[in-house]
Amino acid sequence: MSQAAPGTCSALQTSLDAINMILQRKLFSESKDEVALVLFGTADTANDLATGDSGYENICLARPLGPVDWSVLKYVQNEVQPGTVSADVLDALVVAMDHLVNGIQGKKGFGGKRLILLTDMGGEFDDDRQDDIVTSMKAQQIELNVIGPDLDENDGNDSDNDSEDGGGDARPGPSNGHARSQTNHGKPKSAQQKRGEALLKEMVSQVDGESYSFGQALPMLSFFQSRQVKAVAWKCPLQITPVLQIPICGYAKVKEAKAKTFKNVYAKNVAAGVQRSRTHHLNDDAETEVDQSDVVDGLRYGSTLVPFSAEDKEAMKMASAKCLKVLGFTKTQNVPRHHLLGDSTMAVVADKTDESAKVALSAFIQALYETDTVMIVRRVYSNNSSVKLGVLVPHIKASYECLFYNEIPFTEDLRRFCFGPLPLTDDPASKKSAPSDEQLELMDDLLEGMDLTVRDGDEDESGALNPKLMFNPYLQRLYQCLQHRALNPDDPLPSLCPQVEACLKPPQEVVTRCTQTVCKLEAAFRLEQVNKDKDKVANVFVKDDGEQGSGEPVSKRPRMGHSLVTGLADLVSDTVTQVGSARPIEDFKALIKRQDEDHFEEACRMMHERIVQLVTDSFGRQSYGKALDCLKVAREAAVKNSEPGVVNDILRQLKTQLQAKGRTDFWEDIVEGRLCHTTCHRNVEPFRT
Amino acid sequence: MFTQQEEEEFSPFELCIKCAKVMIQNKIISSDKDLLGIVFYGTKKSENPGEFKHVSIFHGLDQPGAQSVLDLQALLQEQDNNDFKDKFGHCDNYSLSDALWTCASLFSNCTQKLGFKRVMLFTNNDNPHGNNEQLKRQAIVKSDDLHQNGIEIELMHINKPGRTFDVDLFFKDMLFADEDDDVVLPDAAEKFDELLTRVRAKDHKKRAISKIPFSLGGALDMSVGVYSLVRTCTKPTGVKLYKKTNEEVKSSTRHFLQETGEILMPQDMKKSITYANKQICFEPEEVVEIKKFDDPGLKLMGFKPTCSLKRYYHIRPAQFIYPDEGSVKGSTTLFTAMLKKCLEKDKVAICRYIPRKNTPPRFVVLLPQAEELDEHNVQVLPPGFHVIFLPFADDFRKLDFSEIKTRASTEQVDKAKEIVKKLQFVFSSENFENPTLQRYYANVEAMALDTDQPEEVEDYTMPNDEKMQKRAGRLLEEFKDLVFPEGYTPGVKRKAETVDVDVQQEARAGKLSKLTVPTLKDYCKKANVRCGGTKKADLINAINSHLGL
Repeated sequence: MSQAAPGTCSALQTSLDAINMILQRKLFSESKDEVALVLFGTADTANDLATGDSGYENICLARPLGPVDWSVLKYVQNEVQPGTVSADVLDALVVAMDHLVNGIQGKKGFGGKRLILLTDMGGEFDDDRQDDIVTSMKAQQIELNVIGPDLDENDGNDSDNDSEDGGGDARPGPSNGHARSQTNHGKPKSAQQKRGEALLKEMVSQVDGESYSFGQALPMLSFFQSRQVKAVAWKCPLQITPVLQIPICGYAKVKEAKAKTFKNVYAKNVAAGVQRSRTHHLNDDAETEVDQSDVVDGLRYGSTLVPFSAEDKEAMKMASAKCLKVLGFTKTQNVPRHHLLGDSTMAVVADKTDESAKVALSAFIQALYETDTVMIVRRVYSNNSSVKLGVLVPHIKASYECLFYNEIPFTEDLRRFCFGPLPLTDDPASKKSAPSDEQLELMDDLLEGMDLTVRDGDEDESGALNPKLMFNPYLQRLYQCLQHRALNPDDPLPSLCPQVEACLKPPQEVVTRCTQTVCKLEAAFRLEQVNKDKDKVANVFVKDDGEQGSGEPVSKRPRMGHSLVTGLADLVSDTVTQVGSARPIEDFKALIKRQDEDHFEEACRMMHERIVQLVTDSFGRQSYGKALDCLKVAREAAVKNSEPGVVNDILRQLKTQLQAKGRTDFWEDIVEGRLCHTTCHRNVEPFRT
Repeated sequence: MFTQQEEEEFSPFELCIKCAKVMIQNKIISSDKDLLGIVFYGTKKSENPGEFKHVSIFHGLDQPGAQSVLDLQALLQEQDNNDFKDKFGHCDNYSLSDALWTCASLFSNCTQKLGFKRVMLFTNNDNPHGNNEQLKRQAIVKSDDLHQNGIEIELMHINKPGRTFDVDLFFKDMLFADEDDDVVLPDAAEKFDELLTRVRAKDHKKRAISKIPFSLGGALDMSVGVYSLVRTCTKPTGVKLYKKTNEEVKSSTRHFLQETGEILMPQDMKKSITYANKQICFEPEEVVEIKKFDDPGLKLMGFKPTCSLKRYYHIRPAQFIYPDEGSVKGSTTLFTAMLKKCLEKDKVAICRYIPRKNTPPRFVVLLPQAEELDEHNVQVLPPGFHVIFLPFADDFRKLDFSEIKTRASTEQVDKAKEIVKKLQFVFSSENFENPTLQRYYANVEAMALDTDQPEEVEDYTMPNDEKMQKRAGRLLEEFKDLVFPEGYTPGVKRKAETVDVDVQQEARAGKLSKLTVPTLKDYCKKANVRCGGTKKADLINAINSHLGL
């Protein structure tokens, strides 16, 4: 048991790992199960049956039956020492059975008894009591699980022929087909092992037990089990008009399992009680605290604050009676998949004690299923709680049938946002960013290459990333850290366990299959990161292209004279803060040169105003030249600052403003001076960010 | 404006005030941060900072509240107690330009940033300045000014009795100068109907929850915006008020040691969880670190057929993604290619999704959706992917339905099908208002405006029993005959053939604890035993003392 070929773990170590995992699962699921640990092959002997010369030697009851606690985990992790002696497997089973049966005497509420035997089957044994053991195991209804070198394997050398585990139910485990770990620790099986194997195999089949190889058990156990929640039924009649009422029970079927919440404790004394209190303060300079009794609940009605009392609250409540009432039936497609609301799916079945209800509900489940229809219902969880709109969808399996309930939206819950069309069709209007045929073909390859379904028979639940087999990585990580911290309080956090890490990546074979396609896609689709900072500045003037929601506030413009800490130079020189009408060009240049703040946009804005003023006030074409010069300077500055958007925007606005004021002749000048909006666009394009 | 026509319910003035009132009431619920002002023109008195004649600011540009509604309400009072005449009066000698100027200055004097500016001009006079060319020109110039400043002017015209509002006389020049074609005004009545409809629903600005990278592997990182299209709309959170002044108070939470009362600062505390009686502690930063797996973003894991997404895989409402060209150029093309192929091949993408910084990953299914337009070319469904959250194995509850083996016969199923067919309708969420929410809004409004009775709210989620009976009453009876035994009352369990237990005898034998609570209760009732509690021990004690044991 304690020997292993180089580079592999000993069977003892593997067994201890497995035990550790079983215990972890019990601990973190806060299971009420009780566990005892019997070691055999120990140097000492410490068990109830070993009295003098009756045998049962070298077997230790390391820990009597009890709920899992940290000490047993610590014991398994650190204190079990490999010994050199061997003990009889069957003796060990008898000791364990004896302790189990005696241990639960007088205790109530146990659902079952189970022995888990971990062995490499290398020890000697005396098989003449095998039948007795099997008989009493059956009599006591003790389940036997054996974890050891693969019992089904013909030869210990080859571990690749997958043997399905016995249980038919979906068994949680890593989904990515992680390599199964060593089966016999790198050694061929000995004759003794084969004899032991034969014996245990026979026993397991006699008591209807299950056996796993180390390879099968470890990955499966490596995932901590989450807390199992006891199903509590929500009972209510399903009402299809008051005439027809079917008593039903609803149970949560899918609901996010959350970790226990962290509590605040005092760092210097974690046992000290920490309490929270809420205090209320007036919105004045002193933040005067006001007494709790002087604080009342209020509601906001626009700018008005309305105080209201508990009585008001009571009076405002909408009276509603607990119910599940059918409003009617509708085609499944009328309730889109993405409309489901709430945080869970509830399974609805007929009341277990009511045979007629079972028949009635069954009739409707099948009727809905066959007509591709669902029920729309009004649900009130309990008297005076809020009214929900829900859908009941039929679900039929070989072993059971039920309705699944989900919440669906009211009209207030829908947000009718409009999005620009995407070039999905060959419509020439949407040609601009439409993918080419070549690009589409590559995407096709990617869809094929990254296909996660496994094409062999049962398509229902198979394939990688089946939610039923994926464990929440956060919970795994949390439990890993909790255990580490509990046993090694001064260590830093452990690194993420590789098995969990692997789950967060696409399956390796899929990645390998697609490497080439991805390379080709990279070349075919030219993706370009937009420099965020520049973009932000440029966007100040470029109006959102309707796409991003036009109601968005434009980023804050720098304001003049707001900076409190100005440089010495500003104090000395007469600071320019305005683009005046006398020397607009000089003012503009001085403004954009200022270092203390970015005045570019502000300067442009003022320049714009100045140009409009110049043109509007101009007698005939008198001031047109000056205005045109101003525009040229602004444009040059924009080019230099790589912010063409600003000037483009000015031009766009100018055009409309000029037309409105009947100064189209100035616009013609602009066009003539090749400063025009459209030309500018083209010229400016190359240095656009 | 003030003359009431016999066949009309309200005078045009009342209609305008009503509109304003309803609009304010709706705004308070839909977007209470919006600012609103009301300016009268053509009043006898003047009240505005620009000292224009015959222009009165009734309500400055401000966040509306109960008072704004009540003020308008007062203007709708009967003539006798309506002081509009005294306060404002009426005068024909006004300038529209001045009125517009006042509106514009309201906007420009506003210290808040305004996303959208609009003036709604209510009038039933299609030629306000008659032949006064100067006033006309001034109004046109001013209107243009407003336009330049991004203020939209919307004409709310009211027809004069027996005459339609002629836009060509004046308003066409003022408001629609850019449009060359004939201006056709929308139907006045329809417009007002729309304004007068009470809609109590929160307005949501279209804004991405986040913009995150979406990696398809390698360096194929596009950018997408994440949106929420369906989310439960909850009641607005309340505020805490100081009783004496009715002002809002700020609340803060403090931690202190139970024994000494010492106030604890965040750095004095650790985070802990208890398992198997052991308190395990972490620094707050470590708690954050445990949650961090990777940077925010979507990462493609692979594709599956759409049918692999089970309807009951539901743990939270879906989100929606749309390409974000602003962060990564070319996103639209890549996104479209993927969307197109997924639609073509009826496939969904499975992704790892980290929505925010320091948030643990979840797996999601990207459900493709093509754009859908209605007959007016208005978008009904936007193009993009719905993000459906997948549960983990931890989230599935083990349920044992082995006791429910009974199946209905073909005849029973067929009858159920008939009922299903009879009671079928085309469901759409749009037709159902949330009665709880509507009731709440109505109540708050009633309290704020101090009205006796909140507006009646109809509950559309109540099934129309009568109609359903009428359509399927006969079928339902037939179904019941097929399924239920004689004298079946749903929910009432037929009493199991209770073996009469001699409680007295059992009590004397000291075996009361073996009996069930209902049996004991039954006995107490019959034998008139007074019992202090409902627990089994109480019952046993009561019976024992009753029998003198």
